[in-house]
Amino acid sequence: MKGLGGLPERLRHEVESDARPVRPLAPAWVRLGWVLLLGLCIGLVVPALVGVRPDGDALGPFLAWGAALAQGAGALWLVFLALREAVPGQGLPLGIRLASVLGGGVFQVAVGVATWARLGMPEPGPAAVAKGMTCVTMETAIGLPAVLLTALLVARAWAVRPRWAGLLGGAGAGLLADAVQHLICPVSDLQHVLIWHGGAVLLLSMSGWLAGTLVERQRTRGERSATPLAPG
Amino acid sequence: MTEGDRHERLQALMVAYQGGEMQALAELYELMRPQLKGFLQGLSWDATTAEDLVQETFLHLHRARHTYEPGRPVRPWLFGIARNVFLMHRRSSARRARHEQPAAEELPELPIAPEAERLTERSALWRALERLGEGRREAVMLHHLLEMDFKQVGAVLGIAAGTAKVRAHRGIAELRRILRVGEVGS
Repeated sequence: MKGLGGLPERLRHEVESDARPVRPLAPAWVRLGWVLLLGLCIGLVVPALVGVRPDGDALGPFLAWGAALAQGAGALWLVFLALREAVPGQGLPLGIRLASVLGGGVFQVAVGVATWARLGMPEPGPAAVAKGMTCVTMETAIGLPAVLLTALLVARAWAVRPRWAGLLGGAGAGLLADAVQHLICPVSDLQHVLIWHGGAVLLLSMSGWLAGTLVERQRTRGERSATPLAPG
Repeated sequence: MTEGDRHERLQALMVAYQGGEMQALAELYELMRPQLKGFLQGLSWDATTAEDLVQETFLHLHRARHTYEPGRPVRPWLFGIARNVFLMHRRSSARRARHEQPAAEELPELPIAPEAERLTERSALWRALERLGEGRREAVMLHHLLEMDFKQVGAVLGIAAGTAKVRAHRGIAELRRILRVGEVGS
């Protein structure tokens, strides 16, 4: 290949083995469109299949659909941060990342508390653990497609902080799943919402963080095994 | 070549490179290698390691070339990769004690901006830089030596522009103190 003589041997070899033109990654807000589409599908299909919570009227449109939409918007913001984080030089400052992740958690708790208060502060009912396990499983299953899609979108880039990209993506998927769960789950006692719904959000967030950690370790291992390069 | 011309040239090279013109990569390498090596040597304080890290950076750049967004500044993207390559290197290798100061011929090749050069002569400046905390040193190198604005510095380091500005200013203040007190030879 002409003109590459000035490059070090290993780099030249890499370039010669892959010299194809590439299509630049679309901006983060465009890639977010895929997640928005998935979120809308999940948000419409799941309640249609499973049924909306029976106490929806008592909750009122603001605390039912309004809260779910707000959580959905928060989820999209977190995924947007993950997609920005996936491109070198485009990540947002630590303060914004931290505030966004914590803010998502706080908002989830706030929705749970507001719902519980609005419905008369119900106490935990019978078979609380069994119901909780059902909710964790359901919410995790709802969030999994979003985690996988976000992971795919992030993996196509090159995150300088993969753990953060993973955590943000996982937290976004978690909040999205919780938004849908909020519409369908008939159990409103605070213990149930904080432990089981919150637990599912945490699980999805950590799955994203774990995926990022694996990517980072793989890269570090690859760097460690690379032979020293001759100066160009 | 003015600063604006250089930025445009880098962007044009990246677009050509993404389009499959590998000659553009060779030119990008020639243009950016000295700055990258200086920056990485300022982080690693070892010329051989810095050279290796430059090559590693370009390898990752080649694999991640699709992630550059046309129209955006190239240097924050490139230096973001370089910094991450350094951090990976540091994680994967054993820390060696900083028991020796770099010899004069090993000093980073970065050009020194006039206001920094007024502080003292080159070798003393680099020895003083070594005494800065890593966060301040990075900010000083990226802003005062590589002439990135604070928004770009923040993008490379993952911090707010205001934080980058504070780090750079505190770094320069600390450099002045070190050089004034004579903790390194001038």
